[in-house]
Amino acid sequence: MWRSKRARYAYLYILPFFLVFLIFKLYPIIYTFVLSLCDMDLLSGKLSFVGWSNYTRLLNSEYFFRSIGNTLLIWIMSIIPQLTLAFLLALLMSNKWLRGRAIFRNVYFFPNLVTSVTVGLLFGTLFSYPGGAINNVITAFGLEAVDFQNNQMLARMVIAIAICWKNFGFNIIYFTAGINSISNEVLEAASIDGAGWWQKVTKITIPLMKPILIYVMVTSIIGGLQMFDESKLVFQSVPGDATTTMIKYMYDSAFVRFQFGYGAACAYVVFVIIMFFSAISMWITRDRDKVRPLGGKRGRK
Amino acid sequence: MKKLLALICCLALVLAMFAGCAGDTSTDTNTNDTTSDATNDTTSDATNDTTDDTTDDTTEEVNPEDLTGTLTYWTYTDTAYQLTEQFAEKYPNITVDVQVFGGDEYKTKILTALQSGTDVPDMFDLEEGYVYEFLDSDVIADLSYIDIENLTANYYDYQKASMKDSNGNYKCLTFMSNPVCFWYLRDACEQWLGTSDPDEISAMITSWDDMFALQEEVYEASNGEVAVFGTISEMPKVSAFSFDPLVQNGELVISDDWIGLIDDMRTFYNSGYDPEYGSWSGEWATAWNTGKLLFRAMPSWDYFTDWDVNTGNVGLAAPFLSSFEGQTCLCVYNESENKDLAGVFLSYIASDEFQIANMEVNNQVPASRSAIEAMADGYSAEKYGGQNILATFSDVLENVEAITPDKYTRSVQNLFQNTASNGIKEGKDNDTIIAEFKSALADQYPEVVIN
Amino acid sequence: MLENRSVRALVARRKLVHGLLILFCTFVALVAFYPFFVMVISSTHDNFNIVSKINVLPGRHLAENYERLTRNMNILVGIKNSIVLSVAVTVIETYFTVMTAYAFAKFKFRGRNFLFGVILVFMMLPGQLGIIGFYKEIQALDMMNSYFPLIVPSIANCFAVFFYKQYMDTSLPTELIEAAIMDGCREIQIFHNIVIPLVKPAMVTQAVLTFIGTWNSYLNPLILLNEKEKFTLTLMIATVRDATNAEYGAQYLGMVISVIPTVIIYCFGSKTIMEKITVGAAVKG
Repeated sequence: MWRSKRARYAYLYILPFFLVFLIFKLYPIIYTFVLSLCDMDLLSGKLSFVGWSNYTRLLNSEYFFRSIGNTLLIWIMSIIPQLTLAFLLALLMSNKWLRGRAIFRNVYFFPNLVTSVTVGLLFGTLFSYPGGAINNVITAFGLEAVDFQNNQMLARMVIAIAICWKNFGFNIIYFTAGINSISNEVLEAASIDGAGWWQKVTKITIPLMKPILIYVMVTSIIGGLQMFDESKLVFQSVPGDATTTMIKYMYDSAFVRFQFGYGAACAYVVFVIIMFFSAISMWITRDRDKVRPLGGKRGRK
Repeated sequence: MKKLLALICCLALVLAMFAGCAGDTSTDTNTNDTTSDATNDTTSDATNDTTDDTTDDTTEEVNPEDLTGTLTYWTYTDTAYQLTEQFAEKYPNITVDVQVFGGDEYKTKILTALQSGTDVPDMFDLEEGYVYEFLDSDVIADLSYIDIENLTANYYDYQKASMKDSNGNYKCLTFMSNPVCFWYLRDACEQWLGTSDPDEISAMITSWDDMFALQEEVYEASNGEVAVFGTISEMPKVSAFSFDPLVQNGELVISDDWIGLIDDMRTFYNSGYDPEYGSWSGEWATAWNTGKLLFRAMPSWDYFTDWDVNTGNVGLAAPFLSSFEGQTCLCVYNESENKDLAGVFLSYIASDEFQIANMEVNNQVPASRSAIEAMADGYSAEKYGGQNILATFSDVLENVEAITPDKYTRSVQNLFQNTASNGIKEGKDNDTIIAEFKSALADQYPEVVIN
Repeated sequence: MLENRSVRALVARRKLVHGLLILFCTFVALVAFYPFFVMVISSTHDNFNIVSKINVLPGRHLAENYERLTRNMNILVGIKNSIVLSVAVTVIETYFTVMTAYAFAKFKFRGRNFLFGVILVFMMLPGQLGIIGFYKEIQALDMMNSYFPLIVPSIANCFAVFFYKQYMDTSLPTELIEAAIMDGCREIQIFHNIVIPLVKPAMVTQAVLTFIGTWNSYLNPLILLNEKEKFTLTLMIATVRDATNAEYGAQYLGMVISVIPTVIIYCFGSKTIMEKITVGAAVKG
């Protein structure tokens, strides 16, 4: 299998990918790095070298650091319910007794089909003060209406809810793909051995779909730390810019104020931050013992 | 053999040239009968050649039908088709190829095109929000080549000012005004203020203090049901354009007017009569449409009116300070081969003839004083209860300060508005608010000198 | 007797749990469906009703909105362009990324770990700022106003490669490939006849998402295409609205029209996504 004679096929297989990658992905990224060391004259596109000054400006900006904090807060508030909910529902929908599974799994994905403009407008209206739908429910219970937009933490929470709502269906698909890749025989064998539902989930399902779990986790970190649309669209102005995320800060610098060099520097720092958190997550989920439990990928008996 | 091949090639070339000419005339006759549909599809290079010959003498009186050619025009809103349809009626042989790029990122599109210098349109629209970032550049034509000062001689002063770059050159053309008015419902004002006449209402409110007094009065009379003004964050919309810009020549200057505005906003907020509607929120719009809120400050392009219910019941009053919001600026690409033809288009757009038609068809308020005056005589808008809204607009437009904005004007104003509104809600004092504003400004525009 | 009763109690308890779980699923489904419903309803309202309240009943402005939406553009052309682009991107991206992932999952070659690391790292780059360089490059290559730069770069989708590789780690048995080699299969046959069928659920999962993503993509087509004859549906819908001219109703109607194909694609795809793999049996048999 692993003999070097076959390895040359591997190079052929990865050739198209890396060819396109070199031309269309690597060049722009290198260009961005050069850009981050320059100031760009807006309409002529001419670059003038300024050294590391964009980076020093960024690292001295309390607003950028605040946006990092905002991103992490919103991300944590959205990621935990989102992945939990998605995993539970994916598990539920792998059960035969659940009627209407086809309808459920389709409907759960619908939020992802709704464009972010709609999501922004809708959540803004739902959580508006004092007469939004949520506040109507709150006042119906005899409580006082809540001004979500003008409370930093609540505003962040609304954004987190919007993100969670939009993406849980997306994660269900990946989890389902993972759960379904586990062969029935393994689960049946466990049932015969007298394993309960909870045991099957923790001892078989989760360990066996670990690669997919890692994928979902890493992409959730990457996607979550790049959140932008909801931050831009749900609330127009929040005290202390509490919902300004890193990418929103970068976008405003580059595409609203046209400071492309500064924006590029910002993008690189965001990249380092994302890399840091992804590395942590991969390190936590790494294979500690190389021996796979219960018929791992080789599936031998 | 080779010679024969060359001969055939030459022959083919000559034939192609003839064919090109023939095609040219045929498209001309085509565009005579049909207007925009057919013309948008034709992209002929052959016509460009004839353009150069004809447009050399555009300064003399030329029959509009003699002008031929194709112009490319990029914009961000499909209302542009209505401009070109009207243009096509007068200049049937000039094809304007409109390409609409909708959404927030149009500016990125036009920017990348201008930077590369390839595939650049002859003319393009830029929006007020970012146009002053662009105007100083050489790639945008100085419009003095079409004698712009003469063309826009009848424009309102602020319109003339807003078309200039930082060196005082005319670089873009506006063709509509967007005056901010107090919008009100006639029956509601009749009930609570005793009048629905726009002039009487304007006379009633000559300052924020008047507004607050009225707020208190109506609030008490209606047992807290009805408010006069909805939110503090709308106050800068009314006031800000009458004040000196916050950033002048790259330096931050906060005049006393701005401090006074914060004080006014705080007075309103702390008065206990502020209903705290979110600006442009659903509650705010509903309250106004159901008579629970008497005034909202909105530009002429408002989209918060429930016309199903309130047609004929809407009135517009000129606020005590004048402002506008949302200009479209038309620019010409300096390297364009069709600059002269573009000039013809711009001249037409600047004319009263066009702007009157544009008001009639699209409800876009003219930028030209003479166009408004020509229409205002005896004008009556049915949707607005027969009010002569053009006369009201004219009152507002006449009083907008003629300042030439720069890239800081609008965005710094917005920053001020947000910082002030949020600061007041959190109970901060003026010094704290100004300090916060300065630090945010320094972060966004480090080149601005702040004392 | 006693045993019988306890079994019955067990069955009853299980039914209760199942009922509660179905109730929970239904509740989540309603929450998920609600904004979609609002989107459809909004397409029949005018601006005021959309910005001021959340509508439950349809309004009377559908015809007006449709007229506004189609006044200046041919939606059918947009749909055709969107289909061409999305199908091309989906097919090309899926084929080449599966191929790449297969090499990383089942071959050992020099530079494997390094190159896979490169893919992981590039996933983490925020997309927004590479774009300026990308456009400059496309302009320099004279590829503006064509579908080429919209389709071909999708081959280098790092997320897809990572996903397929992870999936193959669990569910593509090396034994099968080894057996195929023994039988004297050619490399490309193994890829086409064994690998692709076995990763089909993953392929459909990713392909559906790619299709939807391409269908909804806005920024790249906007900047790369110059003529409305080439516009995708998403671009056409965006032309209806600008800051001073909010045509929400027409815009929502456009979104509804635009979302229908993606709903159909998703509903078809989800069947395959949910397929249970029967590899285990195949290997042993």
